[in-house]
Amino acid sequence: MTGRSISYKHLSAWLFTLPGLFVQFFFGWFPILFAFFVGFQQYYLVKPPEFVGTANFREVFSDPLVLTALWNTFYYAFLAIGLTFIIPIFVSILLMEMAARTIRIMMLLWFIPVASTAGIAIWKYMYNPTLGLMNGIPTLFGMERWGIKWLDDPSLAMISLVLPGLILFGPGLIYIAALQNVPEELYEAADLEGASFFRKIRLVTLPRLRPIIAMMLLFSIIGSMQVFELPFIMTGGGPGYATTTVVMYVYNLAFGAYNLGKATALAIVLFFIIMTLIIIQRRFFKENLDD
Amino acid sequence: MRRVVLLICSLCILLSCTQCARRDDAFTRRSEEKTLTPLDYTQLRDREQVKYKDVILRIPASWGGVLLPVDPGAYPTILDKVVHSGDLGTIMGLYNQALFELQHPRVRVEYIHFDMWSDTFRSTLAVALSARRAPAYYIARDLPQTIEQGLYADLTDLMKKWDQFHLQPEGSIREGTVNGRIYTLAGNEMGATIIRYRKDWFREAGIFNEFGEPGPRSVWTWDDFRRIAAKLTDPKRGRYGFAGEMGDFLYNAPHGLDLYVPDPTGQRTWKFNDADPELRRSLQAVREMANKERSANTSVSMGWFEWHNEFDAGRAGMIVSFAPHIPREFLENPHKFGKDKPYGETVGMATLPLGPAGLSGLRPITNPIGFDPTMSPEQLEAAFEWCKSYFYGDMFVNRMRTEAQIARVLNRRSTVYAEVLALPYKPKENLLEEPLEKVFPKDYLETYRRIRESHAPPLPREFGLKEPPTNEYNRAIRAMYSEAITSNADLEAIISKTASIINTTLLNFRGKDDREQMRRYIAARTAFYQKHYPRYYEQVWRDKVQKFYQVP
Amino acid sequence: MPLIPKVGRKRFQTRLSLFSIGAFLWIGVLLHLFPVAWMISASLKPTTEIFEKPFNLIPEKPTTASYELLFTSVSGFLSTGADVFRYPMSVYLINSLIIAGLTVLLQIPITAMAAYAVSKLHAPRAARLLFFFFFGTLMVPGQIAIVPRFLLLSHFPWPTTAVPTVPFTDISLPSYSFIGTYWGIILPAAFSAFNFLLFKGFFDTLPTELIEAARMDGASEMMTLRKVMLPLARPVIAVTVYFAFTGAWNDFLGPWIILMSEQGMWPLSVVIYKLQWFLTSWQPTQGSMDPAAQRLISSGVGYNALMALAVIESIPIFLAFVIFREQLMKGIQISGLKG
Repeated sequence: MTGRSISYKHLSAWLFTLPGLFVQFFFGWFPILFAFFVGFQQYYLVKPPEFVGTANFREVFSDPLVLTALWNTFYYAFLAIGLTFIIPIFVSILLMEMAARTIRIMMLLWFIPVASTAGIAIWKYMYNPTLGLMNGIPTLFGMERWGIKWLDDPSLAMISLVLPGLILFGPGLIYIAALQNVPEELYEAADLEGASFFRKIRLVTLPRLRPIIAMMLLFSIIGSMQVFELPFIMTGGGPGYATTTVVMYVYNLAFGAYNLGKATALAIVLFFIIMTLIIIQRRFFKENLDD
Repeated sequence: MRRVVLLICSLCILLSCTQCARRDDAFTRRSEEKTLTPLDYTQLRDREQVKYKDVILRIPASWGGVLLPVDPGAYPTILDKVVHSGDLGTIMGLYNQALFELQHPRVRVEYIHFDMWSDTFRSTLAVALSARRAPAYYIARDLPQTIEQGLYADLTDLMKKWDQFHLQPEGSIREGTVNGRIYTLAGNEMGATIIRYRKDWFREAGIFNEFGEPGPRSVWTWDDFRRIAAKLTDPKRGRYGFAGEMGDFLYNAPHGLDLYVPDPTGQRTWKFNDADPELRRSLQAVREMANKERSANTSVSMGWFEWHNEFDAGRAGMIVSFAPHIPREFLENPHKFGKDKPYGETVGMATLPLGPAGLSGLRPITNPIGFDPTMSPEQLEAAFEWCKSYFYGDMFVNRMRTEAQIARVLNRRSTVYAEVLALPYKPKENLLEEPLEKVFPKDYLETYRRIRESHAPPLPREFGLKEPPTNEYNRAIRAMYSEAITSNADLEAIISKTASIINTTLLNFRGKDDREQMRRYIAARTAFYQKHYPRYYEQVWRDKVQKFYQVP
Repeated sequence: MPLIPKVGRKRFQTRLSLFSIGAFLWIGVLLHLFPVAWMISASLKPTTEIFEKPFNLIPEKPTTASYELLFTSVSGFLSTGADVFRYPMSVYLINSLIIAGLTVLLQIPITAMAAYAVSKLHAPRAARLLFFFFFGTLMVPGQIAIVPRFLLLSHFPWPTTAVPTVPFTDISLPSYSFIGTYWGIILPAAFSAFNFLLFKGFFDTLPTELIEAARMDGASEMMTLRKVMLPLARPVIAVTVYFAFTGAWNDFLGPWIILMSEQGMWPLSVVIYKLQWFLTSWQPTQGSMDPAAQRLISSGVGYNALMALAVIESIPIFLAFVIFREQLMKGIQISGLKG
């Protein structure tokens, strides 16, 4: 009786797992592992591929554009995380101070989502040199336009890409959900000790948010190192090469030049860089304080 | 267990063998039959007719075919919608399909959707070709790499049999020729990159051409262009003399600046031409126009579309445009700028400015067409016949007739005039009710005359030389110019950076017999300049060859 | 509430700080809403106003012309519209809904079942291994798989450009190209490691006794999952559905690579990219000139149509957010993402 039920349990366990296993194998792990094979191949449009050894990697390392793209990617990740990562956290903390009804309305308004390509299109319109509002705001008050060239200035282009992130997007909901779970007694205890506003944030709120911040930071590193749509749609990599990121270069190599081997070799290089960053982040930013 | 597997395997193999055998059978039987005339064909029964059509021609809807509307809307059926909404274009597409199938009984025409204009054309086409879903013909882009990659069928033999072969624009033939073999067919809308200008602005500024009309003289130089752009600029009224991408072609072609030249060290075929002082002058010129004189409006986040909108909104006096566009707009949209401003008196067209030694950057060109290389010879021939008929034959005449009738019904100018103005081929019948001279302003006709008379210089590919990948190369060049315009960086730094990128990633190859081919190529260039641009040959080219075109 | 003590709420200083926090937040809200308002206002302007008076905050002559343009198919001979408008916007909208809907329909059951099995059914060792197998891809940058996945989808299941043949013959093995089909986008999204984590975190909190009790009653595993577990998991399902839906709706690179040549199948995210590409980056190359682009230039379409498209694309995302908001909060709290 027990033997039968165990095997039945096992059977159904595997039956439940099977579809996920199939998808995760074919579309999750297999392409990742297979990349290490593609990187050593040369592909042709109508002929079968050839094995070319490390030629693709040698090309990647001798390509001056790769360095530029890597630098741009780091620069973007630095700006994106530095400027936009903290904002939803602090907004959530402040939002918790409001009356319950205000929280509900404000939450809706603060974290109102815009579809991703739509958001990028809006900002591209805002940055437009003649029609865009970013230069036109002063004209609303009857003044001259600002002569800032935003996306057309190589030194400003990357910041201009990050800027929309300051007021659009942001996974604020997750922080609010986490904050609502913080027991009120902790704050009351801190009150009794006469802790100030900022001290309470530092001693009570942030430690409680720590695991979730660690996780969001991880995702945000992975995400911003792989940024593609934003520069692809906003600037197409220009001016010059000022906003060409690695994934964009991978895309250009693969689907513009049809150089699939070199594209994958570059993707592999970026893969190892991101993995190193992840390991460093995990080492220094433990998710759980108790460990 | 093993036996079962073996059994299944052998069954599969057997099955596929019989399949092959059956196909062979059908093939031999078909080739034994005599080919039917259209009359024979119409007397067949339905089933035999269906069986007889064994040459399938997939025609892309975006070029040559039509697709029925996707949904009937308020009508009971889609065909009802086509008929009752007066969609004569779709009906004409079906009519032409039927006509062509009758003329060629073995051919069955299928209209399919295929997007040939997107960025990733190559990978899309590669997948479509390997899945046998590709259309019979498509636009040939990224030449010549796509020819080397085997994306187009060899058309040389078909071309030689064709009586209108020599009417194709010279530029198109050169684009599609690799090592003496021809791979592309020129489309039927001849054009060139030209300058579109505001006649009313020119009148205000007092600039008139040799016909006494506002506009630049039909022979004008780069310096004229720059001076006029500065003169038309008026920051107070938000006016720029010129709007557009300050890329290379406006300056480089008339000044004879090649951005890659033979590598004198002989390690590679080409090297980036970073030694030529003309390159510095070119970068300096666009930088000054954009930043010092502020006569050119230019940006990475704007494209052709927006330059045209800047032009229409009255913020740009000159833009770069494509020749066939203007006559067509002139006919279709005469009141685009308001009732009191007729199109022909507002928008003018002029050829690109010449260089100081009289060299012209004008290239007569059409959309080149490549054919699916996986087709059978019958399919290829049928596709070629289709193109001829569609470009200037029966189908073309039918389409133009319909267009003229629609125009009469709707009480507007027919666009047939624009089609005929841009047609490189000889149509089967005369389609015009009045001569072109009565329809178009003088500058349009003059520009087209000059386009037709212009010549395209030889290209390296014709001699078997490998060229850098077009897309990536253009992107690198565009990046160099946009950096020169948008930043204050030293020009030498920009040039050396670009040289290192282009030399290491795009020009890192060496062909087998490239020296011999290179000699022939340069000799052909010399002969070309001697024949068509003797002044340029005397003043510039002879020195240039000595300095930059030394074959090791 | 918690940072500012409840006692002494009436003190001036406390009031001032509450007021300044409120003011700061409202300014933020205004800043945040501004682009959205600008998008809506621009979508209601006629084209001439967009180009001639670009900085009007409120349209002078509001019209719904750009929406009408988007929703009417302008195929055929008489049209001057561009290729982007060959299909009425309803086609693209339906495509987006199909892709997002099927993704949700496939992804949620598959992920939930896998998470349930890993959490409750498998032996500890297998469960540990499976857990890393399922959730590991989340910790790995996905960009590395762009090219191999494209190759895999173009000749499934052979990740190459040339399908291998049966040994010693010329007969190629069976393969299927997902390029140009919805499945090429939906199948790779049929399992989500992130949602797996959410489900697993939730199932871990449920006591095993519940399942035991259901089994005692003779319920099959499927019944247990459906009748006992899922009703409890409603908030988590809401969260995962929300993430799956927005993820699929916002996805751009996937549909762009897979459906590139099939315009009738494009979702809105690709259409919006294509239209803005026409508006801002399109260049003719080597004398080849897209006739559709020529017509688009003549048709006088501008940023108003683009913004109208952006509004249309954002509405479902916004609706999903409003509908699922409360459930979302609950779901995040009870699943593994809690603080």
